[in-house]
Amino acid sequence: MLGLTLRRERLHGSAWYLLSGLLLLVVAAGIVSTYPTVADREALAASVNASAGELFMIGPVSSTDVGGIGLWRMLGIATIFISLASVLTMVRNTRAPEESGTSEMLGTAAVGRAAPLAAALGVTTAGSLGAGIVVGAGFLGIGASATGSLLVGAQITMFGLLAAALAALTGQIVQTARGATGIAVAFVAAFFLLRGAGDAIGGNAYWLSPFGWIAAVRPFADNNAVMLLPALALTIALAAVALWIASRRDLGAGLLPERVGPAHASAALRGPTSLALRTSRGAMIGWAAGALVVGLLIGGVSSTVDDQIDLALGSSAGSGSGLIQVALYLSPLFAAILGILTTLRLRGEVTSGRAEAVLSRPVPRSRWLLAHAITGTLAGLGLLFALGLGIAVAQLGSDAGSFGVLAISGALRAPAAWVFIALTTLLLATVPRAASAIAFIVIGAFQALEFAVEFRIIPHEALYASPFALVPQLPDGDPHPWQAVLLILIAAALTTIATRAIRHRDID
Amino acid sequence: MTDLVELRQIIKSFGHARALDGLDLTISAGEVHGLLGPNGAGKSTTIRVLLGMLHADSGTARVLGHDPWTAAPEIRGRLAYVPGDVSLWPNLTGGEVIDLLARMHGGEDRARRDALIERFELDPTKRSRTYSKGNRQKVGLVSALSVTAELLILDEPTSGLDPLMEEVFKQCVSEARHEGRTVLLSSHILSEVEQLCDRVSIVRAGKVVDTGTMAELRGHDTTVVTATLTRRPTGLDTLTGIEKVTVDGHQIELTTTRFDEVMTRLASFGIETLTVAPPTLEDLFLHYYDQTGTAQDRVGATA
Repeated sequence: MLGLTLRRERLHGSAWYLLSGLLLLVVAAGIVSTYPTVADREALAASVNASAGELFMIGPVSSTDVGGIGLWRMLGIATIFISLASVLTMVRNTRAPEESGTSEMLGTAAVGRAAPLAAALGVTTAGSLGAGIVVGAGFLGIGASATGSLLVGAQITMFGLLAAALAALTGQIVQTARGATGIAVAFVAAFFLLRGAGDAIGGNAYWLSPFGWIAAVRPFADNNAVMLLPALALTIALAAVALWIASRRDLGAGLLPERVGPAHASAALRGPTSLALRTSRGAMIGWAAGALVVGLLIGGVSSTVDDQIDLALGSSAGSGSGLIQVALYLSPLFAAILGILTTLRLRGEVTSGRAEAVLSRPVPRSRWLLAHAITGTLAGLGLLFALGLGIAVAQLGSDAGSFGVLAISGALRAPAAWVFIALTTLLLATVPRAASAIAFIVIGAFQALEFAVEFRIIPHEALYASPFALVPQLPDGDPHPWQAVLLILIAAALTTIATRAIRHRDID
Repeated sequence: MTDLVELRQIIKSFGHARALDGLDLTISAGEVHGLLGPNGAGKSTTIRVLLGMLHADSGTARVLGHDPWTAAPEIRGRLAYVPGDVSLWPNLTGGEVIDLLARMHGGEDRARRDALIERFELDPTKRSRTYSKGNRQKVGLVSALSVTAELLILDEPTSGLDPLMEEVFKQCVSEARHEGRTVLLSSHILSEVEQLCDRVSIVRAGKVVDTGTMAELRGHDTTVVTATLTRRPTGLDTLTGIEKVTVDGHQIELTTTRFDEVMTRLASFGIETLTVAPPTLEDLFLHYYDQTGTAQDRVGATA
């Protein structure tokens, strides 16, 4: 069983883990070369540790040696990337094959009920260790101390293990792969945000999140390896519960029972757009609710800490580096990712054969394509609006005057996401099989641009080629009115071309 | 009679694989037309060309008087389709899916829908993800049969249905025929096609190799008769139109197209048990395989 899972994952899984590890190294090495002297790094540490925005998004700088700065810059991203690698690998090898029926074939062979889960735990452990070794060895390579590098590797591995155990449990509780992934990712996001809140508050608040526990190892400063133990204990507990459930439940079943639904469709469910909205409704509401909570959290934390410190980081293009500004600046990236994922569900409709059911009815393909683009557009807008609203509400006490501007500050940034959604729509209409890969490569390229600016490889002005920098930077930055209109026009043009292009393609 | 479907020399390739290789198909108004062939022969590809989902590389296609590729939405309002493997939106209930698809089609008929749900014994309140293959197939059938459509296109619609539900399905197809609807039924089950279809087209390796009534197609081949007789049979090989006779004591097996003579002769030996097996799909295909004589191609295409 382990052999089979390893074989299936040797490319997909190892790529996720190792590329994540390499990416983290590049980020760490980049920041180190940007701040080559101790004096530079001390200045950076001083301003970071005084900025609630940096504390929230990345965390505190606990050591000003080479390793400490590298670790600081990559730790926040590390939690996300390594965790996602584990969650996706875990669900892909447990709930997903169970849902699709592949497990049934194996179930008749002589393997135990918990064997697929045990095998997936083995693979995610190997992957997490691999990522840890890559990052740890890389830190040694950029001249960090041996003990510190070892502990950084251990931290990376620990993030991977924790997320794997978490997804192992959600995969046993929920009946669908999407649900299992969604809940596990929500927990990872919550851990990330609570870690941010904990760092912004300071003191013992790092106990708020398991990510905070792991970060408290503080390699290069305290080298406190004991702080790995609480997270390890939690991981073992989660995995043990998951294995316990797996060995006792029926194949295909979850802990949450299946409910019956209405025998008739409501009057609102009547065409491709209402169908696309209905099938993405859960994800849209979930992400918007998450964004609202993030907004409330950021707005709340930010009012307690003076955050008007200017850092020349790429992520703060022209709009200051306060917590609210940084969060708002980053928000269209998340909206674009959500919008792209939502629009890409069209591909799933085709491969599952559900598209046939719609397209064998008198529904023009262009309308069917547009239905998914509209759903993606609304998903992105909903997330951004919820974030802005959350910030505005949390700031009512300290800054009631700017409630209006704050409340729409997120939604105003939607055109950046829309451009990417429209591009995805065009890709789906022209090169459907490669659409997902290309869309994310493009998003990744614009992220690389941000890092290139941050590491001072290219001038700051280059950012103005990025849709993320061209949307209105309210409340404090440039309102960019005509740039926003231009982005909307680009999105509309791409979508129009897409609706024409899809007429000429086979649906298969 | 007008032709509702007319395909001429349709060629469609996917990469190097040629799925349709000069396929011709004509379906007249009011008939139930069977499309018979093994898996991978090109039945589903043909149907997807008819539905305007695939663009033929060459050849002409007319469905309900229009080109299905350019006029797809117009003609699809006048036809209904059931795929061989119905996939549904996992979070929607069966009832919701049926209503949604009926609204997309236009001409929602509540009474007809409820009657069909009852006949197929479908629970419309269950989420689609909990349905078995057979139940998903029922949702597809109810969706297609509950709307008004001149042309019903059914692609192996009974896969996964239990025998009782297959009967219900056959009744529904007969009713559709009586209402004057035209049906295209793709299948690899000979008995189903034989019971339901007026005319049959046999598809092999992307071509229609023969079209006709089932009896006409049958005429090419022979029926296998197996009997246990009370006395040892003799002199059967002198009869014309009888082949492959094997006698094993009181048992006899032979193939024939001349039933009168064979039965009279067998009866004279006293028949204890008798089975008459129509040629299987395999036999029919073997016939076309021999006839065309391009053995290598054929074997390759059905492997």
